Amino acid sequence: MLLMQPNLSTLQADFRATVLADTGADGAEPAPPAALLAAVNANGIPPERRLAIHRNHFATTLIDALGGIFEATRALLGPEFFDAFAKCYVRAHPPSTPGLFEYGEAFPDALANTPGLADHGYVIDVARLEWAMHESFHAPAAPALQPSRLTALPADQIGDALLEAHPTVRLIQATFPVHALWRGALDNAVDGDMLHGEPAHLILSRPNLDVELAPLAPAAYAFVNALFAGQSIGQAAGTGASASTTTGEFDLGETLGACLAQTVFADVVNTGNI
Amino acid sequence: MTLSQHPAPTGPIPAKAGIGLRAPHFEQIVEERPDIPWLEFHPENYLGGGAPYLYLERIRQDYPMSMHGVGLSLGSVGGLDKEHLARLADLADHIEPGLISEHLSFARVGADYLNDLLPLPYTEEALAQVVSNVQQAQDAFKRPILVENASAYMTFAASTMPEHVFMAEVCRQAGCKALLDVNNVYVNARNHDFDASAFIAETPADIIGEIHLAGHAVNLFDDGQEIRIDDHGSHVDAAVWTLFEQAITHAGRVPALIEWDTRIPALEVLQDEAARAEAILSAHSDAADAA
Repeated sequence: MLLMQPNLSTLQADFRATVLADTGADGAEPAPPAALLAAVNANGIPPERRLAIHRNHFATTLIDALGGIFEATRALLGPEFFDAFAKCYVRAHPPSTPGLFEYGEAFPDALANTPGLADHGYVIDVARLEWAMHESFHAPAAPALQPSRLTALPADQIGDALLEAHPTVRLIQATFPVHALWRGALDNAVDGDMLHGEPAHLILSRPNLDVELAPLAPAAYAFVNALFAGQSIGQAAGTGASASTTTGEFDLGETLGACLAQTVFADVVNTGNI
Repeated sequence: MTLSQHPAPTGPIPAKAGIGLRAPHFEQIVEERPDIPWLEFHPENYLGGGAPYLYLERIRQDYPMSMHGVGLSLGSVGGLDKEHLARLADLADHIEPGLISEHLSFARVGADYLNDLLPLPYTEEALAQVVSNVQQAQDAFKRPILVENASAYMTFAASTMPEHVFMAEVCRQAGCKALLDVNNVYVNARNHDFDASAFIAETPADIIGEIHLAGHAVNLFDDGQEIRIDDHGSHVDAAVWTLFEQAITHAGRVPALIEWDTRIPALEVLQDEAARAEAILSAHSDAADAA
């Protein structure tokens, strides 16, 4: 009898297959590998039932984790749809690290790639916002760039300087007014007018313990986005000015000052000194 | 809120009743500095270095901390996840926990984490793998760890030794200590029909370095078959308190911990539960002093 038993490697591979197997289209639970069923003592309860405890634990704990990260998304989709969708997602995308705070990155894309949600672009926008907020919350703490570091640069070198993003900063560009939709979903106060509002440009950062969310004008968004893509302050100012929808919308001094007052940059690199 | 910094460093874990640190209690613990002898944290939640880590860094200045992993997967074939182990060792270097512990179970298969404490067969093959993995962890942490007996909802036909013998052998061969979870002993004893009291009595007293206490759920299948689930979501069961008294009498006074992970109640509820454990610890030291 003992010779029939799977070795540890096979036992663990069969456990993985059991936990990650898809539920059948008819809702039927998939049968675990025969070797694993034979390896588990029944002792009054069929091995299938014993193994199902772990299948359920995997799904429910990860669905709960996703529901915590994507709380507004869940409210917009309805808990029943969200949980059913998440149940398929967790089996198709098992965690690759034991840190659950890192889990769920591909979830907004999975929603976006679902044909049935093609008319629900605003939900995808909210999901992307929630993942960005989650990432910002867990991003490493770092001191914010002090304005004096920038003003200390020789005036003729500021334009060539590079600004590094603070680790907690995330930029969000959305088709829908995602800030209002997110807030509305959490307060159970979404109304149809929100779907016809202006596209959103947002910046997230975490000065200390709490994530802060602020709107940006489209030109300011283009400026910060260009900085984070590696453009110098001078080049990014040009990008910001080109993105202005009205004359004089982009003011370099004002935009830089507003960013320095928030936790947007971690460091400045004076390329004139390299 | 902002977190002010205090200079006092964390110390060794006292032989008193501590509490598991959970996010809903962060602010209260920072602001009120409640009288708790030590706290245990799950390192997996703090690896990003973000806001949770800032709380942990602040709280460790006021309390001795124990690092209790749930994802190292000590039973995985092929060794430990080196990247994860390095992140844990880095966290331990920063937080300087008084104790480091993990479970006698597996969670990782290849590149996938199954987010669970999955049961191992108690075979010579599994024993050799766990011993090797514990040694790999101890090399990374540069100190001995404690290994915890896990709850299990099945046993394996291949097992050739009882769970407590497996745990004692891991400790003997790897040079680690045991974190005796008396709730898990009770859950397994009820689920697999063995004598919980004998499990404790037959565990060598000198390997027991810490004890865990928690609540569990009694679930019934449709046909009335009972199975006990270790969900850490309620008060410690009366029978588990009795086993705790036996374990303390057996092993002597060691650090004990209240774990509560689902339906997390107010901190005061955990403090009351810890006070009950502390009373049992104190009664034992009084008896030992009188003897």
